[in-house]
Amino acid sequence: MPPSDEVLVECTTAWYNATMVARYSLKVGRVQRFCLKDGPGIRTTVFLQGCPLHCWWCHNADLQTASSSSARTVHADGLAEELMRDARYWARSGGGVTLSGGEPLQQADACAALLRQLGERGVHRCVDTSGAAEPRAVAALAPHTDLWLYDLKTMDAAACREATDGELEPMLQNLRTLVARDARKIRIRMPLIRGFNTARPALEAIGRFLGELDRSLPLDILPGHDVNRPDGPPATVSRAQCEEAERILRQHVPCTEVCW
Amino acid sequence: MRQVIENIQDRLFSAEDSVCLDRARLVTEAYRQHTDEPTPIRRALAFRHVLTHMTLDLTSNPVFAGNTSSRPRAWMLIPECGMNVADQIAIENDTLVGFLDDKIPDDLAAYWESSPFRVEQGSGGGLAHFSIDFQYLVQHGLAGVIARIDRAQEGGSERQRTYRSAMRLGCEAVIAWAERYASAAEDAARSASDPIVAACHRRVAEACRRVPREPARSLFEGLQAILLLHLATTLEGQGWSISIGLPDRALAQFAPEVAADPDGAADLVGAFLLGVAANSFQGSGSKSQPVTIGGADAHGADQSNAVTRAFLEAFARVPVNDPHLFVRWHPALDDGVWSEALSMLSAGRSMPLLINDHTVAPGLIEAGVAPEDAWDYCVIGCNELGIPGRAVQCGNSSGTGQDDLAVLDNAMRRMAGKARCVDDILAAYEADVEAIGVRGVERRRTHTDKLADDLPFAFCSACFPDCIEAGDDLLRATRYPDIYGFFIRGTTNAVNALAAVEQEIFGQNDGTLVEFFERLDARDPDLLERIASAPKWGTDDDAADALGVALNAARHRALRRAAARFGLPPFAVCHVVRSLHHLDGRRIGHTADGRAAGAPVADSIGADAGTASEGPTAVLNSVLKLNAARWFTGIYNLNLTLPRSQADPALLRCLADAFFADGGQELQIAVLDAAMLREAQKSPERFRDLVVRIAGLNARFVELSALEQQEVIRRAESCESVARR
Repeated sequence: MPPSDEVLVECTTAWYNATMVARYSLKVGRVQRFCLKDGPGIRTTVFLQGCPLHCWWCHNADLQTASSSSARTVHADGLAEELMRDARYWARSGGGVTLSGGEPLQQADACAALLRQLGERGVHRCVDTSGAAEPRAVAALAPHTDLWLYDLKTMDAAACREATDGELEPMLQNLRTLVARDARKIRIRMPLIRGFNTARPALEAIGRFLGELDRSLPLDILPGHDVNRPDGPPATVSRAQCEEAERILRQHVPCTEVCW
Repeated sequence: MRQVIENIQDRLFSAEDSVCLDRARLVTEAYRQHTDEPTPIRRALAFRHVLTHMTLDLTSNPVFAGNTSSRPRAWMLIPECGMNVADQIAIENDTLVGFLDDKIPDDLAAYWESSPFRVEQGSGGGLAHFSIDFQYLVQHGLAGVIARIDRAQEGGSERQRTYRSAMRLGCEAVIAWAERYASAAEDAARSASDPIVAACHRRVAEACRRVPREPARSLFEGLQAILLLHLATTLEGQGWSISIGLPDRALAQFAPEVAADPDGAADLVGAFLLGVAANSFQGSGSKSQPVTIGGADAHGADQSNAVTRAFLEAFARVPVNDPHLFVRWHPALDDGVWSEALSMLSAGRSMPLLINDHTVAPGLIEAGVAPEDAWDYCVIGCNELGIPGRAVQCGNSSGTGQDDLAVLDNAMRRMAGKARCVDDILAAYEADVEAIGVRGVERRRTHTDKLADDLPFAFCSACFPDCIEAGDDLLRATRYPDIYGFFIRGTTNAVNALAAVEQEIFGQNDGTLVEFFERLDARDPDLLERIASAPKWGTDDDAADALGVALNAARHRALRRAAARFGLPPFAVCHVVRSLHHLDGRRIGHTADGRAAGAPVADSIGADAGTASEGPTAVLNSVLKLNAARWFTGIYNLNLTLPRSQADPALLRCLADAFFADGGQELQIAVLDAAMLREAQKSPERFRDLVVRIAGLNARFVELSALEQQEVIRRAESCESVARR
């Protein structure tokens, strides 16, 4: 006997609810409060679990895998409420919430829902991303993001593939899209990694790309370090290397600074 | 001038602890000589004898006159209150353990051992915990006080008239003491080879011919008057926790003079601070001589002025650990004052400590202080509150208190076979607190009378106008003698203990409290690991914080009932620590928060050591859930340790403004660098100026005991570790 209409409605509703809960739930590696380097002011940073890239210098390598025993799944509604605890400090410091990772764009629907809710509460929102995602993901988050912290590591597609397992062109294309949408909402962040992108040609290539894209883009050089990275080749760069990189990049994008 | 100040500082910081028997011998001589006089007169004569014959030291600090012993850091003893190294001092400066052994002559020790007038105070430090009315004294001088005494003498009983006579004797003795300095300074000026030093002596001589008898006419005379009066109260027999009050209000009339030469004024204030720092009671041990500046009046008007800024600048220049500085915050605090305060903290100065007028003043009003007086409050000890010339809050005489962890542990163990939920434990705790409060009032009432009768302080009392009118001692006759201090510690551990049993027993209905304590006392590693994962106070965890709120509310209810039984206003609950967290810890066995027997309890109302896992904002958020204005009318102390990387002044401003705007009461910001502290341990000679904040005091790091140094380093490492994540 076929199920009754009531049963069908009930099952469909349950399926729909479960799907929506899953769609708007985030896999969170950890939440860290009082972050001072993930955007302006005092911020609470949500480190999302899972990243399509596997950069060997990553100091959050535990967040690269799609799942982890320490990760938790939490609905955007509940997480928004939890994050608001430090709102009194954001208000005075110009801070807010930063989504980082992991890769936020890998959980685009849930992140967009979270950012929308935070926006409705007047919270400043940053997304820290490599851009390694479908254009759709960027489009989903863009209306709800006040500042993009956009990683740019190299202009060498082969080196990118070898060092990160990622394809360069989609990341560049997503960046172009965001710049076209509103360049004022973007801050480029370039990890300066020993033996990867410290050579002059690599830096010149990044500088040329950004200069042609928009010379007014602010660029932060993030000196590589080996904290939280017991294994692998050393990533730490010298002060001289940072200053040399800053000098080269400033010729193309004047608003370049080293984040010591 | 700057070189003169540096020389003063060098002499002070390089002085070794020693003993000066001047005061002890002179007091004893006078006590022996005046056996037939009533006690207030006898003590006043003893005070005069000390001031008349003690050694004057104009060499160590030629800028200002005033000393309590023949050389800096030579301990001035108060045999009437006992002659011993206080337990706290011994913890903080372990080189002082046994320091007084064999240094007290047998005849002195024997006289006071059997004297009926000896009132043992444990710390050997008198009563203190007050500020005299410096504002009145700077503006009217002791001549004004004497005139008040004379007017009051026209009436009253014989007993009152006797007490007022003792007051007058004390005031005259201080005036004569200043004259002695004037003559000595004139001699010193004639023989000084350095013209700058000679000029300093001449200025001292001129000032001491006038103040503190007459009103001060300049910043220098005002500071000179305050220093002499402050040290005179010490010499009368008040050892530690004597406050300088609100000097920027007392000296506000000289703000235009300061504004015309802020640099010179800061130098003068710096030399003044070194004069206070050289107060020799307890030698190199911190005496807690707080200075409070800033703040609003009852109408919300900012009271800071050029003198406020001179004090800040002086504290920034002169690395004294004692006196310690408090800034009263309010929304309209002068931005320059606030910026300078935050810059000092950011630079790792560990001062000023910050207090919120908008929580403290309503709290005092709740405790029975009139609104027109409440906004004149200042810090009078480590962090206890008083009102200059009006309110005393004396742990040595009027206070009672408890370690919350000890009381809760006792209640838990007693209830182990009966409690079905945390509320049952809290009910037992509440009953115990009420009983402690009642005993405290009863003990205080008899003890206060004994102190006021056997150990009167007529000169100090003369600096409290109400005492002159009443012809009685400050312990009985200040405007607010009924504010009873209630001093607590261990609250953080108590909350964590509740959270642990809630998780392990009541939340899961798993096992019994009896079994829990059996395993706890056996240090079962599995249980300890689970306790470590229980919610913790100071992490903004709703479950733990709800228990914190419940515990503090229970204490408040209990104490209100205890006070009401005697028709008293509510106790002024003060979370005061200093190094008592070590002493308490040594007396308390294994506790449900996982703390091992003998380990120290928390050093503030914030997170326990190593548990601030969610960072500083979470600590502040947890504490903000307390109703400070009602539950801590004597204020809490909150120690927030930050690494240098997180201590930009703008950032500190955001934290402090947000915390205070939402009802935070007191905030101590310690900016530490673990690597530097370790370096200071290895090469103390290079870090002589490094001042750090411990639980309730400031100290020069290199002079701290190894135990306290390690505690500070662990705190620094812990916050750096959280910041690095």
